[in-house]
Amino acid sequence: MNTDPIFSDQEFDEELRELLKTQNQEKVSARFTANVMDQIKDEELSIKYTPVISARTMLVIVFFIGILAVWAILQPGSSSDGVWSLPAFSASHYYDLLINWQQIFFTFSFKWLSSSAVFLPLGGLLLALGVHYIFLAMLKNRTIKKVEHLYCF
Amino acid sequence: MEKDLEDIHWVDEVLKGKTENFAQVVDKYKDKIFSLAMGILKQKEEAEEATQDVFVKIFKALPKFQHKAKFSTWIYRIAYNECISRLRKHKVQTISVEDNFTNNLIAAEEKEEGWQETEIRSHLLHKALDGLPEIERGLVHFFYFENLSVEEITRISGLSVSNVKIKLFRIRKKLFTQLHPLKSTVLT
Repeated sequence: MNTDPIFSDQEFDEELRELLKTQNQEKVSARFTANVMDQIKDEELSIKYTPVISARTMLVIVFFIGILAVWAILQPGSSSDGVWSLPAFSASHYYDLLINWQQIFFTFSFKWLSSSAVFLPLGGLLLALGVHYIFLAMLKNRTIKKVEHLYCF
Repeated sequence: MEKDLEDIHWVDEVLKGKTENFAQVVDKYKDKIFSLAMGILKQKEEAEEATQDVFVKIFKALPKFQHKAKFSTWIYRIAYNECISRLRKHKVQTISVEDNFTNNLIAAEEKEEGWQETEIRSHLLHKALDGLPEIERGLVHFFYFENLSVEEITRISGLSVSNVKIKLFRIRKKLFTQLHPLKSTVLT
C-alpha cells in the first residue's frame, strides 16, 4: 500500500481504488493459458529451427552448386563444340542424323545437351529440387515440424 | 518476498527446459496483466491479444531476466511497454468500454433499477480516465489498482521519481475535479 505523504487525501484515494476495482472485473477467456502455451510451443520450435537463408537464396545457391557439379563431372568445356556453343544445325547435319541413330542419341541426348548452356542449369534445377525433397522428407519424418522451418519465406 | 521466491523457482524451472512450468507464471499474472491492458487499451479483444503477446515476450526474454528487480516489476514493465506501443501503433479506438458502460446503464434503466451513486461515479471515472493520455492511465492502474510504490512505478515506466509524483498528483487533482466538481475548489 502506498503511503507517500504527497498523497494526503486518503479518503479520495480509497474511493478511487474502490471505483477502479469495480471497473476491473473482466477476466481473460477460459482457454487463455492453454493458448499462450500453444503459442510458446510454436515459438520454441521457431527458435530451434531458425531458417538462416531465404527460400529464394537457398534455391539460387543450390542451383549454382548444381551447375558447378555438372561442370566438374562432365567437363563440357573439353568437348570440341565448347561449353556455351550449340552444335550447328545445317541440313547436312540433319541428314547425317537421319542415317545414324547412334549419332542421333549421342548428339541430342548427351553431346548437344552437355556441350550447351541447357544441361548445366537443368542439372542445377534438378539438384535444387532434390535438396527441397530431402527437406520435405525430413518434414514427413517430423525431423522438422513445419514447412516454415525449412526456409524463411 | 515469498511470492518473489516462488516466481524465481518457476523461472528457474522454465530455464532448465521445463517449459510447461511457464503455465504457472501465466496463471498467476494473467488477470493482473489483463487488467493493466484493459486500463490502457480499453478494448477486451485487444487487451487479451496484448496480454497473450506479453507472455510470449516474457517467455522469450526470460534468459535475460536479472534478479535486480522483482519479477512482478519486470513483468509489468514488459506489459506496460507492450500496451503503450500497441496503442501507438494501432491507434486503438477507446470507445468500446464507454459503449459497454452506456449499454449497461440503458439496460439498467430498462429494468427500472435507476442510477446508483456508485454507477454515476464509475461512469464519471471512466470518462475522466478516457481523457487521460495512455501513460497516465498506466500510472493510475499501478498506483491505485495494483497499489505499487512510486519507486516500483519508476522502474516499470522508466520515468523519474519526481516525474511520477508530479504526474500522479496532477492526475489525482484532475480526477477529483471530475468526480467531485463541487468540492474541487477545496483541493489544492
